[in-house]
Amino acid sequence: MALEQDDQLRALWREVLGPDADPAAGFINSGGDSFKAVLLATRVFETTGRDLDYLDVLEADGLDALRALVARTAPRG
Amino acid sequence: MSGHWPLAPNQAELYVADQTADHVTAYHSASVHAVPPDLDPAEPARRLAALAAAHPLLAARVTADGCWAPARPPVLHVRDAPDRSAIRQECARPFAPHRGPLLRAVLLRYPDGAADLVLVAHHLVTDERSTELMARWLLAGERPEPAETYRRWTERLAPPDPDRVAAVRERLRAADLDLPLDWGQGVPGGPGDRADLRVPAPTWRGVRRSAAALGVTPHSAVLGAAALVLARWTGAANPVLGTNVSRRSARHADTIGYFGATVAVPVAVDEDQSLGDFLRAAHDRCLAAYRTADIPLSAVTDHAPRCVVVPRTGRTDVDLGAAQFPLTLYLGEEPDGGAHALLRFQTSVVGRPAAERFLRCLDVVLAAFADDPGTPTHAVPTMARADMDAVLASGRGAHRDAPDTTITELFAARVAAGPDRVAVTAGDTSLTYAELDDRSTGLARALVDAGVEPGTRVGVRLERGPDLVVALLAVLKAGAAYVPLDPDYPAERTAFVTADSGLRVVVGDVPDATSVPPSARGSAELSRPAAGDAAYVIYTSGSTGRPKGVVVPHRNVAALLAAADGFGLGPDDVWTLFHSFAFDFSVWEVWGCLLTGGRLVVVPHWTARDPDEFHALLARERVTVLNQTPSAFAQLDPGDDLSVRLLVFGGEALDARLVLPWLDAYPRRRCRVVNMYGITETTVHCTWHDVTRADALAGPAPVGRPLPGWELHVRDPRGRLVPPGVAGEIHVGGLGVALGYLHRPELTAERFAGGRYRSGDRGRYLDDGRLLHLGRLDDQVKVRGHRIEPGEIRFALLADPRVTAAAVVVRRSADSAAVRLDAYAVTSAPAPDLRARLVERLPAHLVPATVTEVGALPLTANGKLDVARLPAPGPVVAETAAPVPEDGVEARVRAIWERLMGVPVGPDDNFFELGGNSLLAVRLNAALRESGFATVRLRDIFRHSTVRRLARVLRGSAS
Repeated sequence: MALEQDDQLRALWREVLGPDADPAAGFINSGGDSFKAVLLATRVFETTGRDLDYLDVLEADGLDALRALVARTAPRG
Repeated sequence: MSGHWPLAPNQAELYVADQTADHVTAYHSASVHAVPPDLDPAEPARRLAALAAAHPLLAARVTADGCWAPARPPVLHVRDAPDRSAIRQECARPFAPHRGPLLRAVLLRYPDGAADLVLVAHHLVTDERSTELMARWLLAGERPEPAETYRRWTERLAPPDPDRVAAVRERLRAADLDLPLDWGQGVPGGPGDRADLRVPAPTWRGVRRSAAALGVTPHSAVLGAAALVLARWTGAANPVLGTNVSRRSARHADTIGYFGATVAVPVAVDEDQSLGDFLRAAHDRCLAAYRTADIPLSAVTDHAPRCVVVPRTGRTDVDLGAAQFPLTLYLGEEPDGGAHALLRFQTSVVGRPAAERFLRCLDVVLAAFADDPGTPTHAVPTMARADMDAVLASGRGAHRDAPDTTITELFAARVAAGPDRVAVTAGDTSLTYAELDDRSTGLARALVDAGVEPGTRVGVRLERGPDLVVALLAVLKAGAAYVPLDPDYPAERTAFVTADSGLRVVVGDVPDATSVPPSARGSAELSRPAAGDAAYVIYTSGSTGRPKGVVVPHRNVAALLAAADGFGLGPDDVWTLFHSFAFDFSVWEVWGCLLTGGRLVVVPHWTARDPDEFHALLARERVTVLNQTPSAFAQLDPGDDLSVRLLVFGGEALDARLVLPWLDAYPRRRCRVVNMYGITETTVHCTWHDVTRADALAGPAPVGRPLPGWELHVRDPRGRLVPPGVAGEIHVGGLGVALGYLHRPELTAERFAGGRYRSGDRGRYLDDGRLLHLGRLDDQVKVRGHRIEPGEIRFALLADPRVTAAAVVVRRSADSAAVRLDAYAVTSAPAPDLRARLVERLPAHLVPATVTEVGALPLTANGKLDVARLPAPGPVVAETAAPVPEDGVEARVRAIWERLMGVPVGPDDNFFELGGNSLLAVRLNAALRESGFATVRLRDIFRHSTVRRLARVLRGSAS
């Protein structure tokens, strides 16, 4: 994954879950809920064009999991 | 591209729910925005037109066969309104899906110059996000750029894999979907109401903290908490709740339409787990359920979940109209860090007190979770402190101190007060109080001479007559407890009781014991019994069959007398001794009378069994206090010549309808009718209830309130108190609790733990403090998942004027798998159509297999229904056993089904199991109408979902 996109995802993770969110901690463990998952999925789409299933975002057990989701989702216009 | 396209599957679900609801429900989504007072309506009007043009869904209507078709576009209305109450009006004004449009924009202008723009849409075309998008466009000109139209999204949806659907259906079938709502004490009529709970910030922060640590969302925690409360209230171990899920993906952030879906979440409630583990498991179930959002609910369940938990973002969604589900719980966070739970409930099923209590119980669970998720779930209190205190208080009869007196002392006082008054009448013989006192003292001395020591037990085996009363009193004066040996008992029973209670001396005749004749007189000194000494031991059989002796002390009988002081019993009263003295109802008849100075008329054996003879005795002796079991009473003709001023029912559940003829003949000012619930183990009676005409028409009679000095509480299987409305086991405490079972220490420890008696009866308290008795716990039988309430069936039978008494027997087949209901009715005129009438009145699972007419209901020696002596039931009318040849109507219906569904359809195949869903139901409805079944309605397809049953319903309307 491009370094730029990696930074973007990290920034979005923090944007939605708060600046102190630990990227190693799960989405829900960091206080995430369905609304925040929708928000994060929307922001990821806006930035990368990849349409993630927000339920997968909700269940992500850390930033790495989010990266993996992005990696296996094809971008669409 | 044509202007027609089909409803999306989730839209079809919503449409069907809307069309089949009993009340006009408001599936509306609304938002209200303050606008500048000088706002020119032309601008928003123009934007509205552009909005509708870009999103045809907003200018569409629903056709009969479930498609969107063009309708008039929405226009901006401008209204001058006197005040903000107009907002509610605008939001509540119904939409007509068949005409459209389903969007409405109204500019309200108020006299003070302020103005609001109200945007209302039917949920078929919008959700929270869509409403927000529309508002932004109309108010700020921000035009969304959707990646794809709603229509296109609909068209690209793939139908779910049938194996997945089947798996979900199986999972739900194994759970408890049809949660009973009888705890709600709803009131018929009225669409809905709301109740609110505010969770303070510290608690909610604690909930969020506990939840995050466990990897659980706060929403899952709330859903799990609601499931726990419902499980405790319904006894369901796997309650199914619902929740709303959005199917909107990020790509569709700007698409306007309805993306929501309701999914069913089965929650396994295991109270031995920690609260944290339980909520974690509930969360996992939620996640799994979210992923079934593409499967329409109608494809996997027969009915909607009873309770749906919906997260809110807090943006305005003006609450209005009828509730969609019996319970809908909206949960949103507040700016102050707390949370707001809004419960919308259908008042026809859940009353306000129950709804508010539900929220308070939810709060208790959440607080426990915030405080310590490691708490075992069973330790989480079942109620808030205030509710607990109210339940405790409500279950206590008026306070009375434990009396420190004995039957013999109380009797002595009556002797002193009126020695020459007649105490006992038996046929032509009578005894005054002085005579009864003298004879019983003489016999008591003789018993002591024969070896009776204080604290032991003496048997009494005598026919009904004055000697019997003398003997009972004599045993007490000898300081012993009397053990009734009914002469009607078979020999083995007499032998058993004699041996079990260790009888050495008996008044009357019994092998293996010293017999003392009732006329005996002795000379021994008498020591007086103490209040705590045993007065009698009466044997009960119970469900296990082996009889056990209940030991009741003097002070309990004294307490019972004191508790009945509200009846105004006194020396002018005349009582009957109708019941066997081996049945504790007789304790009330004998001592209730003699300890208040009344006259006791001993009813001869055969007179008691002849209703006309008994009536004649009641009239002749001018009896004022009559005690009866409902079964025996049913045979009595009230006449109009009786002097009865107090009629007491006991021993069995009372079908209050039985009392109507009596109430007609003897109105309240002449005679008081009281229903009393009681158990031998708690000294004859524990509750009392004045029976009124209104009761008689309403259903099974409540048993009322605890007697002064008694306490009755309803508890769950773990012994925890339950709130009003919730059914559980009746526990009795207070002054009536017996000393225990004779020689059965383990059983006594089990049933009398903590000074309370576990009755084995099922009951529930009403909000007004009255107790309903619901039958024996072990009679709880379920047919196809539905609990059987024999009382309901009897009530339905008694509604027929030809039926004077009714009984229902639940029989299990030998392998215990099949359960069968047989009803018996005593009829005043031949009634061969009784069962057919029940089919019309009762839900299918309550209709008995047979209804047999009998001349009278056989009674046991105790006057209760004798099930063993009921005749064998008549033959079962085969309902669908023999394949009935298909008639024209059924053939037409089946052909339409097959054409629509594309598969062969058998007459008893279920529509939804064949793959039907809401959209197909809409199509089927349209096709049936086109084919000439003009009166078919969508709800008929849901309620009669096989060809055979639907054809039966439509037969009358075929053209």
